[in-house]
Amino acid sequence: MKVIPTFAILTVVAIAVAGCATPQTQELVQAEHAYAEASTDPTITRNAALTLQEAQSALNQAKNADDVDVQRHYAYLAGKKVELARVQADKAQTQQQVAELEMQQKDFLLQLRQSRTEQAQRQAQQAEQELRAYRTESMQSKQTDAGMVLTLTDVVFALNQAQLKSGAERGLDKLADFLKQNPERKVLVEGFTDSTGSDAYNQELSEERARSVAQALEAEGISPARITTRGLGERYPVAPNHTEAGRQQNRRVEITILDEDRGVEDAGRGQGT
Amino acid sequence: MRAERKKKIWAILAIFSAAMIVAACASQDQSAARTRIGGAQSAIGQAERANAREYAPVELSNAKQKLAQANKAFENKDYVKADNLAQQAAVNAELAEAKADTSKTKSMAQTIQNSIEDLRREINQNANVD
Repeated sequence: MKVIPTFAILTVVAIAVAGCATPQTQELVQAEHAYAEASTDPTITRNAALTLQEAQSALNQAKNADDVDVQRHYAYLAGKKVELARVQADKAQTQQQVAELEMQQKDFLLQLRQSRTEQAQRQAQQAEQELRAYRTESMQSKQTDAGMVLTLTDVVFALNQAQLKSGAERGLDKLADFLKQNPERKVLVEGFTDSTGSDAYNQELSEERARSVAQALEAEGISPARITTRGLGERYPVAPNHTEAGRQQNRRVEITILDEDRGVEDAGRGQGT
Repeated sequence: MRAERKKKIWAILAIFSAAMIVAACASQDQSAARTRIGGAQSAIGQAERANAREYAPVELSNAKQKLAQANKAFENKDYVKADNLAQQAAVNAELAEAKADTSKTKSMAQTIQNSIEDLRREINQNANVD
């Protein structure tokens, strides 16, 4: 008989306890709000699912806490975990961005390399065209097996002089430009004289003429290592020496622009031709 | 006489076991708190190695402050409080590390972006040389 009232009282007490369970602190309200917001953000749910789950479990512990301090503690943890999830999502997105940028960068590098090659080719072509135009203006030229041969005649050297005339120095600019654009090309510079004077004198004069052309090129910034000079005296005349016109043609320097795969050894007149 | 003595022994035994149980629970709390403090410490170390001092100074100092409070509570034998504070320290350290990592990744993205701009400019220049 007495059992029923006791049970009823217990039930009422239990309901009362449940009803006035720990009051909701502001921390819990805030954490719940932050979690609700984050859990509907697809970038966070996609990139920080685990942390979001940890936030949720902390939030549940806060809700079930039977003590305000415990509730505050778990609400604090939940709030920080939500913040962490946001940062992690941000990081994942940034990493993805970095990966995309790296692809772009690679692509641009490739483009740049291509455009540099094209530019170099254009410049080399331009220089070669200029050189061809120039040789028709002030030099005789011909193509040989070893490369293109430019001939500087009496126009650039006075009789018995090795010094280049000032106009000729300017003319060599074009050749220097060409050599700058084509750094792998080398030149062979050979000096010649007419038959006037002794062999020894002519030999020396021809060497000096070749050297002064080489010096003019070096002054333009061409490495001496790329220039070979040689004096051949009065040998190999290109015209008869018994007329002044012929002698004038024989007082000359020949510049051979060696083909890329040619060395000095198999070029020019020095090879006993 | 004999019965009384027996009672006494039982009483002593009961008190002793109760004390044991209390002690056991206390030492369980203590070791849990110690583990948690260790975890927070290593999380802070990890954050520092990720340059959190530079990139997330607020979070890192929060973590350190909480850890100091946890250690203090531990000394005062308030193991539950120590445990909670260590947990809060750890979550702050985790946050500091993640923020530092994110900042570094962002600056890397910026660097690549800049290099792309440079490349783009140079390509355009080369194209306009004609």
